[in-house]
Amino acid sequence: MTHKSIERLLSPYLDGELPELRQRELSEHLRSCESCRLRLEEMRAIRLQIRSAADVSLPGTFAFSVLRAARYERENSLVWLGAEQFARNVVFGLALVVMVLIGLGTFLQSEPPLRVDRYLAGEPTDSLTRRVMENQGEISKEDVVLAALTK
Amino acid sequence: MKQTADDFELVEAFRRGDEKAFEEIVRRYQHQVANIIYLTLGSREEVEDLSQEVFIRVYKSLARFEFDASLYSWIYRIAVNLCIDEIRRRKIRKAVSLEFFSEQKLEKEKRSKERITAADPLLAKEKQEVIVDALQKLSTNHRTVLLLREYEDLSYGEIARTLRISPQAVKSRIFRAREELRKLLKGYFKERS
Repeated sequence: MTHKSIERLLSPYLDGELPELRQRELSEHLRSCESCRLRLEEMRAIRLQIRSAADVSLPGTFAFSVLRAARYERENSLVWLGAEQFARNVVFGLALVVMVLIGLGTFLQSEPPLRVDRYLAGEPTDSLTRRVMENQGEISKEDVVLAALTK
Repeated sequence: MKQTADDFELVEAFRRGDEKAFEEIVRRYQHQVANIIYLTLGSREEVEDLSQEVFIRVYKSLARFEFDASLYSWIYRIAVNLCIDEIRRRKIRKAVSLEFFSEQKLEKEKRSKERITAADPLLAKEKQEVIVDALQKLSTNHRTVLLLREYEDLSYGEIARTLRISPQAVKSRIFRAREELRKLLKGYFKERS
């Protein structure tokens, strides 16, 4: 093993994460290598400093405050949930009313169907219009020619 | 990081509607949560608010907790995610506010920073501030893994399970984080020796 690869093992060595044999080899190496010993000491010092830096404490009433805040949020969200449901129902109801009104309006204001009789009343019995309408819209080539000539 | 019988009972009691059980869970883990937030974000001001936010999230989702990890590692994951969100928010805020900074203001800040550093490099700072500042210079990934190891004393396997990464990634991130910290604190070690 190169010295560089040994250095890489110092971190898991410190954490006791190396296989037993490797852990022993490293211990052996550390006895004779001052630079590795120093590196390991620095890593240990960092660990101690991190642990001693963690000195934040919260007020004694913290747990109670959290519970109160959590309850408040829950109740608030329930109120909102209710309001949201109510608003959704109102919107749905209004949409239904509008649709019914539109339908009703359309039904009441619909135009009366065209009565063919009204148009045929003044037409002569052999007129083109009468022939076309009586044939349910079908028109022959002769009818077209006749219509062109009479115009 | 085993599931303690107490944790299990507390969660079950909370599910039955006993809110005192939730208070007990908070009391049990509030210190660790507060410190992990402090070490991750590097400032004390928001620790209480963010700790509260963590436990409110716990309260909201405790009914869905399935005991597939220890209660604490689950709470820890919530805290870590919250810190990551907070770091992102800060970055955005910083980027937005920088747009409004005039060149002069930036120059003024730089000068005052230099004055502090030149007058008293590391000695004037509290020992813990030095390490907390150095931690803030690590990437979020490296910092999170290192804190789980150094502060929480979790094994590589436990860290891997908590963060849902491979043990190999844990090993490599811890190594890199330590190397970075050693470099950042080089002057400090010389000062001490």
